[in-house]
Order: sequence, then structure tokens, then C-alpha cells
Amino acid sequence: MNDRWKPAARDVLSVLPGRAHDLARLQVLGDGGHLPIVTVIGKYNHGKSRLLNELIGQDAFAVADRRETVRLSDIVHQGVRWLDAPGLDADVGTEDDRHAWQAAWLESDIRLFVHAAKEGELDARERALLAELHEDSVRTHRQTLLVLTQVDQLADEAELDKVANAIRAQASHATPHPVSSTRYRAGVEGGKKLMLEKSGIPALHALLDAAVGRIPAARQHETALLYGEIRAELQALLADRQASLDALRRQHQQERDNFAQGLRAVLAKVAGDIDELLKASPVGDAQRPETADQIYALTAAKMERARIQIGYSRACIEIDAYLAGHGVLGLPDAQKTAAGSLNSVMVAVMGVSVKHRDRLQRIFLEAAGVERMQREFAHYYEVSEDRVALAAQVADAEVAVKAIAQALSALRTMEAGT
Amino acid sequence: MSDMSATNGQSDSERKFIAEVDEFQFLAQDLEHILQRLGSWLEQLNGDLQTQRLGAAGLKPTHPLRQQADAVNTAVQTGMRAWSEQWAHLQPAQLLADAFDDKALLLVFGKFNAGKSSFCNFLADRFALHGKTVQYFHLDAGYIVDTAERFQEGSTETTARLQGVTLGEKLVLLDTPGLHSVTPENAVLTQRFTDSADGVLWLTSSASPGQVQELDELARELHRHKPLLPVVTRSDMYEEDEIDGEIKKFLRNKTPQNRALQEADVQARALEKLAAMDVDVHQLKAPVSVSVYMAREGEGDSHQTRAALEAAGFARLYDALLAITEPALAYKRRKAGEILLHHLQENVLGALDTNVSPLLAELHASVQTALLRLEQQQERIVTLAWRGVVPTLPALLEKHAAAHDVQAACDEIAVSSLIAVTDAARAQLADYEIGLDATLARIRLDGEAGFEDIVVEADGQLQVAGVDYQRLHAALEKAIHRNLLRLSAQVAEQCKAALEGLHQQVTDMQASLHVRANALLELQQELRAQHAAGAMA
Repeated sequence: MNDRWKPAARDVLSVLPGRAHDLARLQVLGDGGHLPIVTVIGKYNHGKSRLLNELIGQDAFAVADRRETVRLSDIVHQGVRWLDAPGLDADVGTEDDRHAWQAAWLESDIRLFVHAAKEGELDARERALLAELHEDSVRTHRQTLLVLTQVDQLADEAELDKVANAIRAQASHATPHPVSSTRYRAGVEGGKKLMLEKSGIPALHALLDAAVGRIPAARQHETALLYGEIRAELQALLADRQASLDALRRQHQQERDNFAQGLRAVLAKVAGDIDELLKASPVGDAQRPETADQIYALTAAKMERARIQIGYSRACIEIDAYLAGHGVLGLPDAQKTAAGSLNSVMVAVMGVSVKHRDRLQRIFLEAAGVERMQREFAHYYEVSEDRVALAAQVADAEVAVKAIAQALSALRTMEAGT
Repeated sequence: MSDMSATNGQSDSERKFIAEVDEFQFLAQDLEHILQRLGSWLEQLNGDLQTQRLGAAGLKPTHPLRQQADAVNTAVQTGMRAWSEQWAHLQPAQLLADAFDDKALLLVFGKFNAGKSSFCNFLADRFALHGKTVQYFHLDAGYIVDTAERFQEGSTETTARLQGVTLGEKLVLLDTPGLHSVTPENAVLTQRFTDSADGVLWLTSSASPGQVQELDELARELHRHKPLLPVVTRSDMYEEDEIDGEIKKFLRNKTPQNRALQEADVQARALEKLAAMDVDVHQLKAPVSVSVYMAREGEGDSHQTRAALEAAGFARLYDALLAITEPALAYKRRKAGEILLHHLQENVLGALDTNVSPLLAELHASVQTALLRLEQQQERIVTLAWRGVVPTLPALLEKHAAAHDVQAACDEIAVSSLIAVTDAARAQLADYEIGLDATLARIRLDGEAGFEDIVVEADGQLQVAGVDYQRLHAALEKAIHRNLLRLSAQVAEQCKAALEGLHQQVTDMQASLHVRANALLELQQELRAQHAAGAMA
């Protein structure tokens, strides 16, 4: 495995935290030096450790007629790692321990499921675990062998048949393989050929050898399976997030368009009012009155100024109303300027007050002026609370989509690198 | 069963045990006082629960917190009904109580392959050998039926029935279907059978001894303070040898060292399990190991029987049985008290603990969350109402400009503010019962703001250029804001009051449950202390 694998795996993990276990498994599978693992599973006192010792030919595992300590112990023998798992009984350890062991059982290439013949049928827990292992076998091609131990403790062959048949009825997918570690040991040590043969150990050896031979293919299968599942999950997630992103973007655009449109209408109305106002007033500059005409002109100019002032304030109130309705202006206190009459957004865009008709003309009636207002109010709209929140949502969605795309790319890197 | 002459073939332990069994005394004991106090405890609890029903005033039925409160009330009502029914079911089964009032009943408990039947049959045979009466019986359609049939040995899980055997005058072994074999039909009867036992023999096969998760099924009996003796059965094994081209088997007892190892292991893990179940570890007696098969093998020769019994573990078993009968009889004396106490602990308090307390805790947390949220909701109402009212100002001001009618404008705005807040409150605080006080919707302006005639001087005359209301507009906005704040606060206050009221009720209920729990603990101590195991007279 090349060294781009791990960083790529982290990219995938950040998007699919639930796949931590599978990614760890892929790493193990991709690790070239990973020996085949055989784990012996079963209730305590059913002869797991004795069996292991006989299979290996050494007294490597502790044996006692009681429940032994709760550690996972292992040994490497002839290129295979043998694991002795503690009993699968409920009173063993904490939930965390159970999960750890279950992972170990699940992850071994070959599971030797052990059950003492003297106990008769499988109990509920054993049945459940065997069913789980079987499901796992079907999915990942890891293998399970069901071993019936301590058959020397049965009265006779007939009893063995009875037990074996009962078990076959309970777990139809599993063939029980009867063994007796005691017989085997006696056969080996005492040179007793019948005991050796009836121990079932040589036959089990042969089965195991064949099973070990099938491991590379099984691992390949599992690798492809996991990559396939992860890819599918990422693709589905991508489609989903992309759809969400698109919807958010549409909403964002729609709101912006609605605001702009509404503003345009308000500005048009205001422009209309101001246009009328300007048309009704005579054009003229204020000048020093020297004649009666000029005095009249002065009055007229004063009137015009007054009306323009009124017209401008009306326009501001209209615009203020529209902006308030769209949440552009906050609540009064935050917005008021020292003048106390116009809020800060209005001042920022419009200036403090307008006295001259030229200015009014430029601001409200010329295209450039209108566009400027449109643009600037739109800016303040975009920084209002709700808009900022929506923009953040869109940004988050974009980040999420990007992360998934990156994870998919990382996945390809991982597959290539193993 | 052969007709054997007495003493040679019997062990001392066995003789002693069988003799002492017939000497059991069953003293009545006055439990009236404690029973009464336990009864009052329950009355007090029931009363508290009734008066403390959660009210949830101010919250509509759709409000999640009201629904949570309703769930609590329902759980309490359900619980109260349930524990009444359970108590009715617990009344000692007449059939067994009357028949066995003067006998010590030991429940023989264990998985189907633990060898219960052979164990019981063997003990029955031994009693018979000592000249004692032995009577097998079983339950048929709810009646005790005597029978000459022994227990079926080697049966599978499926053939199981409630059965027992009386050994002598004073001892009864009760056998129930193996674990996991109780059907819905016989569950009630099985429970009654189990109820009537004074102590428990837990039989567990030597092949995998001490699967302590089995003890979960005994939880009720153990919580009633019955003693427990683990018996490791089938403590034997085959040895094989190849002889003349055949494999020959010999059955023998497991060694004393082997047995000691298993017994120590079973004891250690059983203690752990009992502690985890919150059962007094003193109820556990030291395990023993037996092999019925090996004991029977030695029966052929009267000389060997005693040695065989001992080697098969029965001497120790008899001593252990004697040791367990004392606490079993002590239990029997306290029985009525233990049964009521346990009912209150488990069916009443236990049920409340499981079904009601978590709901209360959740509700408590939910109320806190809702209170925090209320602040945000209050702000949001003001914002939404603001957005609703301010856009109406231009048209409104224009309407009243000519007449300079500030008051009319204010009145209209007051109305629209009220409507706006009502709408916003309905959206934000939909599930609360709120009433808006219309008198609070006032628009009071600062200072003298009003419609201003803009006057221009011309020729010494004043001409009106027009009406300006910019300052009025600004003043109105301030006033509207104040108004909205006031209205929103009023609404929020009502919600807060509702939430705080509920909060108080919840904490009250939690406190009173706590008090009841402590009181019951005291009663338990009293029961066990006053009526502790006395000597058998």
C-alpha cells in the first residue's frame, strides 16, 4: 500500500464517519504482510483452548475446567495466526470488550465455532452468533467451521448422532465436525491408532488447510465489496447534497430577484412623484431680489425649495417602508443617526438632505442615479440578518458537496494504491 | 430401588440431614405492624401522586411540553392500575400456600440440561430408603395432583411441567420448566410456583458451570431476600482407553481439586452478578458439586454406598442443604412482609423509576430549553411585527396629512401593531395560550412631533408649501418600536409564567418521589432487622 492511502482514507472518513470500521478493515486487507487469521470462538469451557493446542501441536494456550481470563491471546504457527477468543457468554466484561472481541471474531478469515457435544443443543446465544457468522460469510466470503468438541464425553455414537442431528436442525447452514482433543492427545502419546482416527483432529486439519487456501480469494472479494459499498454510499450522498445545494441556491437567487424587482417598482413610483413635483415648479436660481419680479422669483424659489424638501422626505419614507418590510433596516435605535430623522442606511446611500432639484434629478430620474440606489440598497439587503444566514447555509452546503466529491476522488486513489 | 437395610449404606451427613428435616418448626410471627406500615406507605404515595398531577396551565394540548406532561400523568395512572393488578395476582396461590404452609419449599432451578430431574429423583430415593414418605405431584389445570410417577429424566426442553416432590413431612422440592421454556399459558402458574419457594437451589451443569445470566430470571425471588445455593451437577467425566481394538469408556467423579476450582469460579462470578443485580451477597451460599450418576453406581454394594455418596459429593450437599434451610425458614417467617415489600419496591417504586422518572427528567430539561428559547421568540415577534407595520406608514401618513390628524394616525397604527403582534405571536408561540391586552397597544409620541406645515414667507404673508411629516415619521417609528416591545413582552411573560408553573410542579413531584423512596428503604431495614433469621426452635 502506498503512502497516499492513509490521507485519502481520512478524506473518506470525514464524510462517512460510520465507515471507520470498514476503512480500518480495508487497511488491514491491503496490508501485504497480513497473515491468515483463524479464531476459535465459543462458550467458555467448551474446549476451545484444548482444541487449539492439539491443532497447533503445542500447549500454547492455557487450559482449565473453568472460565479462564478474559484476554484475547494468539500465536503464530506455520504462517497462520491462531486466536483464542474468550467465551461469548453474556457475563463477560463490559460492552466495549464485547465489541472488541466481536470485531476480532468477525475479522478473522476463518472462524472455528466450538460447541461441547455434552451440552446437547445450541443455546439461543450460540444460534444467534452462528446465524450472524453465516450472514457474514455470505457477504464477505469469510469462512466458518462448526466444531463439536469433547465427543469423548458422550456415552456412545448414538448420542453423538442425536446431538449432531439436533444441531443440524437448528443451524442448517453449518455441518458439525466432531472432535475430541483428549482422544487425539492419548492417540498421539500412546501410539493408539484408533483413538487418533476417532479423534476427528486429522480430518479437521485437512479441512482447515483447504480453507486457508481459499483465503486470498475471499480477501479479494471482501476488498472489492467494501470499496463498492463505500462508493455507492458516497454517490448517493453526493446526489442528495447536491440537490439540497441547488434548492438553496435557487431560494437565494429568488429572494434577491424579488427584492430587486420590488425595489425597482418603489423607485419607479418615487421617481414618478418627484418628476411631477419638478415639473410643477418653475426652474430658477435663488438671486438677490431687486425688482418686484425678482422678489416674486425669490418667493417662488423658496416655495420650490420647500416643496422639493417635502417631496424628498416623502420619497425617503417610501423607500424606508420598503426596506423595513424586507428586513434591510434593523430596529430604530441601532439605525438612527445624530440627526434623528433618517436612519443610517438611508443616509449612507442618499446623503443627509437634498435641497436642489438638480440633485433630485440626478438621484431619482437619471438611469445612473437609479442604478446606483438599486445597487447600494441591494448591498445593504445582502448584509441583513436573514440574508447573511441564508448565504451561510449555501456556503455550508457548497463545502459539504465539495468534501464528498473529494472523498470520491480519494476513494479512487485508495483503490489504485493497494 | 432395592429394599435395603438401613445404617451401613447411609452416610452420616445424609442421616443427619434427613432427621433434621423432620424436625423443622414453623413458627408464626407477628408481621401485622410492618404490614400495616407498608400499607400506609402505599396510601401516602397514591395520595401524593393524585394531588400532584401535572397541570400544564397556559399550554395548549398541541404544545410538546403539555404532551410530555400528559405522558407523565398517563404513565402514573397506568402504573397505579398496573400495580393494583399485580398485587391481586400476587396473592399467595391458595393451592400451594395451604398445602405447604408447614413445609420448607426449595425451588430447583436451572437449564434443561442441568440434571434437575435426576437430582430430585435421587434425593427422593434416598429419603425413601430412610423410611420417609415421598410423594410426587404436579400441577394439572391449576390443581395439585398427586402421582406415583417420578420425574422424567433426560427429557428435552419441550416436555416440561410444574411438578414437585415432598420429602418426608417437612421438605418440598419444586421443579419448574427449564429456562426459556415458559410458555404464555403456564407463565402465571410458574410464577406462583416460584413465589411459594422459600429458597433456591441453582443447578448448573459441570460442563459449563455458572452461567450467571441465568440468575436474571430469579431476580424477583432474590430481591425478596431468599437464599441461593448453587449446585454443580454432572460433576463427572469419561475416561477412554483403546482396549482390544475398541474404545472403552469409564465414568468417574471429577477430582476434588477440579471441583474446588469450578466451585470457586462459580462463587466469584455469582457474587459479581448478585452485586450487579443489587442483591445482598450474603444470600449466596457456597457452591457444592455432585454427580448423581456416580452416586447411583455405588448403590449396588451396601459397604460402598457411603464412600460412593461421599465421593459423588453428597455428604457436602447434605451439609449445604442444612445450611440453606435456616435462612429459608427465616424467609418463610417473614414471607408476607417480603412479598409486600418487594411488590412495593419493584412494581410500585421500580415502575415509577423506570416509567415516570425519566419522563420527569426529560420534561424538566425541556422546560429549561423552552424558557431559553422564549427570549429569542420574543425578539423575533418584535422583528416580524415591525416588518409588518412600518411599510404601512407612507400611505397612512399621507392619508391623515391634510387633516393634521396625528391622533387618528396613532390609533390606526395601534390597531395594526396589535394585529401584527398577534399574528407574529401566533406563529412563534403557537402552542401557548396567550391573550393580548389591547390596552397596551398605545402609540405615545415623544415631544411635539406632528404634521408640519412648511411655510414660506412671501410679501409679508405666509404661504404653505406643503405638509412635511419626516419628523413625525421618525417619532412614530420610535413609538411603534416601544409599543411592539411592550406587547411582545406581555405575551412572553404569559408563556414564561406557564413554563415556570410547570417547572415547579415537576420539581415537586420529583422531590416527593425521593422522599417516598427513602421511607421505603427504612421500612425494608426494619423488616429484615426485626425479623432476622432466628434459631429454629
